[in-house]
Amino acid sequence: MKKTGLGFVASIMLISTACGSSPSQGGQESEGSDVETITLHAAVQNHSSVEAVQALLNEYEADNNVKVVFDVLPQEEIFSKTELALASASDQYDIIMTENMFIPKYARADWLLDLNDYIESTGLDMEDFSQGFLEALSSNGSVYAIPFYGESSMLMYNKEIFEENGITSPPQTIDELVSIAEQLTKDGKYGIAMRGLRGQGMNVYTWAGFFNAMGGQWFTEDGQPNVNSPESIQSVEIYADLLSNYAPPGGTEFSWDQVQLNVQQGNVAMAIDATNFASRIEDPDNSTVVGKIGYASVPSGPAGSFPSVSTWGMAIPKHANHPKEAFDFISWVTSKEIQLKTALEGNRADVTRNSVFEDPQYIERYNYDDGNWVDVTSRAFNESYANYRPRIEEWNRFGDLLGIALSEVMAGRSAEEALNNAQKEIEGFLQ
Amino acid sequence: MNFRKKMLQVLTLESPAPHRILLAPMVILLFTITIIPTLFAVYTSLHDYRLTEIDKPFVGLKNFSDVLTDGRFWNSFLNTGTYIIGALIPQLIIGLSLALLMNKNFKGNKIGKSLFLLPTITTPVVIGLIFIMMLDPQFGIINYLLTSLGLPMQTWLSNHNAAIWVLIGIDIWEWSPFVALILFAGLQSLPQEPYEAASVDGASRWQSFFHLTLPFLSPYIIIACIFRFMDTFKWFDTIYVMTKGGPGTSTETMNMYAYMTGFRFLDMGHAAAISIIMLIMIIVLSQIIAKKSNILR
Repeated sequence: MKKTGLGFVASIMLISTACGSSPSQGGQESEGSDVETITLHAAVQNHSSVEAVQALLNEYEADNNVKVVFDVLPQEEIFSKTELALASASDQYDIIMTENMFIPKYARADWLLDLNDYIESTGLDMEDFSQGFLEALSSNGSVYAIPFYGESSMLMYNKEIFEENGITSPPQTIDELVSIAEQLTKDGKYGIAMRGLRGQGMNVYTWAGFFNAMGGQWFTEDGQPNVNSPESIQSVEIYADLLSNYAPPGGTEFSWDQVQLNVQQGNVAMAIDATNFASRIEDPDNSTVVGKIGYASVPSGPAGSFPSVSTWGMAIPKHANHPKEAFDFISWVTSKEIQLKTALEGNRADVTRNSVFEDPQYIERYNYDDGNWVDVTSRAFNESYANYRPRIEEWNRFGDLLGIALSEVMAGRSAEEALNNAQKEIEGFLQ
Repeated sequence: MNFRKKMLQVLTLESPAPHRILLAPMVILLFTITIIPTLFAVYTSLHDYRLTEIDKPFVGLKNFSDVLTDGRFWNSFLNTGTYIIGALIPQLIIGLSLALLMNKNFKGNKIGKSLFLLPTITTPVVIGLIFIMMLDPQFGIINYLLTSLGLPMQTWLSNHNAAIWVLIGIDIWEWSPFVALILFAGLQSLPQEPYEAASVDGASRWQSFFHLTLPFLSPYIIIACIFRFMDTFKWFDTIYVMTKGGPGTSTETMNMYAYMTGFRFLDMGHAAAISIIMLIMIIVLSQIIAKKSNILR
């Protein structure tokens, strides 16, 4: 009796482990309808723009007889997951969301469909897109992804903290930035928050603005990497100094959501990060500083002010099962109507069509800081420098090494040493 | 013999080696899922195998020489060594103490025996995520407790020197019960007569512990060591979830470095080389341990 009981329990446990560990991937197929419903699988980033679209998916599904399944992934994970799917020529995804920095690499590896044909045949309005974003997502004249959300960088400052300390205007130069950060780090508040976490899309993303502003050049004229120039060393020292001394505890490891959280909680006087933070900072559900934040251009250095450029677009893998339906979905999701609708109903301070930016309803809703935000953002979009981060195929590795160097300098290593080391490693694999 | 007779022999297990037939399916399965991938890994490590390139030329031992001259690899080697030794020794001590405690009869003994295993059976990823929340410098409970005691806030996970010790501490918390379980089994099997003889001879508690208990437990201690060594050598879950090898590269172990090389940079050739080097290391070390302890008598 005991033995059969044990056997029974053991088999139940085995079965439940087997069930529990099955991956929850894949979409649900429609049950037994006579018209075949196509299911589109999309790998998308965990971002407020995606959330805004998810609310409208039902409409699209009803109108077009397709089912759309979103695989929502955080920024760090989406690259490894989609790259593996692309490299193994799998048909797992019909649509992937990817960032402009990786388009040259994917284009050369022939992983994505060239969208020019679909664009021509469906007559998608390309003029309306922010041209900078469109260029960033193209390679050699072919468009590989349609811009879904785009951002630049800006300086956000807490006007209340500034007023309490008698500071009337935001810093315009990097020197002013450092002195104000120092001045405002007191009484439990901190001067500045910026990305510290190592990564090409994390600390390197914000630091590149300082690099470019101090006059750094990614490559010399004969195409050699140049990351340990005196300007670069200086920019690293300034960045590391700001985060080690005037950022909240743990600030040297902040990802962008932690920077955003600290601004929302009123912990910091300033932050330099993405333009689309604004809609989350001004969201009364999550933010304690609604209406108190001012927006200004990123502080300038000797070589000028360099806002970032980053755009995430929707691309179609080469081996996707339903490329035509995928393109239709992509056109819908980036269309003027949907961009405007999601902007008015959700948090979309990151639209990619000029017509939406100029629409009076949009301007009314996103009237942060008395219209300053829209001004600074459109200026940043127009002024952004295409090679803010160098668009080379080996960017992932290049950027990762710089991220490590920054992290090491924040831990106390000399900037010159860390950058010389990064330079050596970069030269090593760029041959 | 004709075919029919042979088949009957096989099916009724009247062949000269029935164990071979019975084991064959399992052996074939294990062969497929372990040996073949390993052979492919060796193949990959000998080629310039990048997922973004169509050409994957043979390069001989170049990947290996690249890895062995790479400062970042030796950094990861040191990190792995620190992690193993830093975790193993406290785990043994705490595990032994727990096992000795379990061996005594006290109130709540039975409940204790079920509860003390909780850290080990919890999913490592979950442990990592919860600890990250607890260790958050501004919103985590650990800093809340520290500051209410008047102590300064900790930023251990952002500190290049401290981060790995946080991970080691979590490993100790998570796996000491496992070591305790193995040692407890050993304690249960201790013979009584030597202890009676020793107390007759006037041995103190400490003496009987050092000269009787420990030597009797040594095979179990070695088993626990081997299990934990093999696990910590390739540990991934909590490290990835909590620091991803950061800050800088201070918690980047060899396994994490291989992961980054293979899955971030899509450079499978070098990743395979790192993995093969790890395989060689672990084979050599486990052979040394096994020979020295004479376990495979």
